[in-house]
Amino acid sequence: MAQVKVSDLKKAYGATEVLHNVSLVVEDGQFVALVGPSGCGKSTMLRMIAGLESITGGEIEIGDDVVNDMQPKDRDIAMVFQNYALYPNKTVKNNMAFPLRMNRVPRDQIEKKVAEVAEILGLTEYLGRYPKQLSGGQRQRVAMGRAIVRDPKVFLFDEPLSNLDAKLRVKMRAEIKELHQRLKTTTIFVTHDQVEAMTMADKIVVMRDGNLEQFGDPLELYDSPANKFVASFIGSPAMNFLEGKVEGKKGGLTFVTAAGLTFPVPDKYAAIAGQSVTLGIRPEHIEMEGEGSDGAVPITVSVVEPTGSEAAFVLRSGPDELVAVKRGRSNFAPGSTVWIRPEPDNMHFFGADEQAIVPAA
Amino acid sequence: MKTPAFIKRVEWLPIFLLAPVTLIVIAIIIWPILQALSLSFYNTRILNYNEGRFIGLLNYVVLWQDEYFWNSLKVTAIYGLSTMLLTYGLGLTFAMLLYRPLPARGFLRTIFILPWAIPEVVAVMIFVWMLDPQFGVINHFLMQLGFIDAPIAWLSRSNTAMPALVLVTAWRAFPLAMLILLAGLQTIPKEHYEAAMIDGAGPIARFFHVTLPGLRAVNVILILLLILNSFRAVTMIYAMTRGGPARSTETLSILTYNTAFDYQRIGYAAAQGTVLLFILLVLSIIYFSFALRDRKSS
Repeated sequence: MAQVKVSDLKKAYGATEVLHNVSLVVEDGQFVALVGPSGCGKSTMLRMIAGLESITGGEIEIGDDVVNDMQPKDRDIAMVFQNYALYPNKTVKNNMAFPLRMNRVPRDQIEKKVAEVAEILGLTEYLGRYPKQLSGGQRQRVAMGRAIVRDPKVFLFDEPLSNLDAKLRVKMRAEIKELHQRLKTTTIFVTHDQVEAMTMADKIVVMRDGNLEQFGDPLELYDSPANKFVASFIGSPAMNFLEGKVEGKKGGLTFVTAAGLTFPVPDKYAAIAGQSVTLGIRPEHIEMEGEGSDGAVPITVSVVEPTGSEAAFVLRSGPDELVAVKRGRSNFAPGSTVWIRPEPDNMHFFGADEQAIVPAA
Repeated sequence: MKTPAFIKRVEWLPIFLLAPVTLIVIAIIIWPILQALSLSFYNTRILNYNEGRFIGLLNYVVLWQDEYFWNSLKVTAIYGLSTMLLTYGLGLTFAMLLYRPLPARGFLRTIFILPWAIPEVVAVMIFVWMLDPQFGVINHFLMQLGFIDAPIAWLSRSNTAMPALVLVTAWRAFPLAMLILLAGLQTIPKEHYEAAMIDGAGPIARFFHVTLPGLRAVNVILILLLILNSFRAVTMIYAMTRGGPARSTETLSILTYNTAFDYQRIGYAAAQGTVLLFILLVLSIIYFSFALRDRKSS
């Protein structure tokens, strides 16, 4: 097991730079998710750590070694690919034994190790089968088995769940997390699915256009996004954004949209009075009532999306649109008027540069 | 008059559409084959073509006892296997070289396809000149480099004629093998190589564990195709050696040709041709069964 340290990492294809000075430290035993939309550079970074892409600038350290010029096989890493990359002509057993054979591990040890890992992953009865005779989930497990048998310092996962159906994905998510808790091997996991990142990782790296946008605990990213992009990317349904202005009046601060939707703003934001800002509010942080009360704003329900355990409401007032989520059952019908109030402690403001505005303590 | 019911039931359009092609195939393929088959039961010669006598299976009995026939089978096997191996080897080598990102890769691919694109007879003529004992450039170079003291008559010596023939055949056929293998290489997922690299496999291990297994389906088809081609080869061998010297390059197809047109024994040649046809038929059936299985599994 080992720490992975990435310093000022750069990648360019010709004149096009796709990764700009990214730095981060993955602590020994941590499970870190790299998340971002496609083309953000997350897979490129993973492949650079694996040694499958050359490094244009910066440094990668695994454990105590700078691995920039090391062959993939010498980095003591294992990788699980999106399409599993199992050797089609080899049985499950031989797929799993392959890295050990290549590293000249004695035959009896290979047998023992493969049997052990197959047991952990529930693959014992499939050892004699070929990859094409397995289901997607089983193939995924074989790919993980091939990675585990070597006891590498670091596991690298490149979108390993994208080829599975939704139900299996949830199951494999839990399996991978459990496996990590058991093996405690440093793991870097690339995904474009923020739910995967949130549910599995100890820490999340959000990337966009080759830049690291934020690196932190899942809930830290959720509660205190560093900028509008992270705020919009993390959380489902996504955070609501309203363009408007913070105005200081006698009764306190208010946020007013161009269409006139007005919400009270906590005093700690006094510094931004008079500024044009974007208000961010998560759907579950909007209080909804059937009748008007102090500080609540009337708005029309345009769509109701019940899921059983909760319901999402699309609310409209002129050009302003918000999504609110309520747990349990509510009887707000489309077309009816409700009164809403954002929870003051859970309001986020973003400046013109899209960075989060930190309130006064 | 009333049209009978069964005529109404028949779908006539597909039959009309297929009829011209079917007739052409019958006229230029099926009919000659049947003609040859029937000739093989006659003692027909070119000069008395219409006076051949029916002799039953006598041609086949003679064939069975004909040492030249057995010699031609042996020569065909040697020629077929060695051209196949050399062609495959050259094809795979160049396919792997041209698969890598090289500068001017497209240009190089075009250059390497040229031997296959020029007419067979032209290719043979070029080589016949190059191998010529008096004026040939090959003897010239070998003498300059000190490998030989005197010019060698490559195509007139029984121990060099076959290697020369194999070399020229492989030179002309390898671009096809290269193209097919190049296409095969492109179907191997890049991730398999990457996984193997991470698993600790060096270039040689990657070749044996990823590349060769990945080419398996293509290999079977290609190898059969190359063997089939060597059985069918006439132009090149005829233009270079005519089967000589001393029948050392006389394959079954050349023997058939020589029997028919040099010795003018059409009936006997037809029997030889029928054996050749039978061998090709068996190989073709194997080829198509693999090709179809390949298509099904993909």
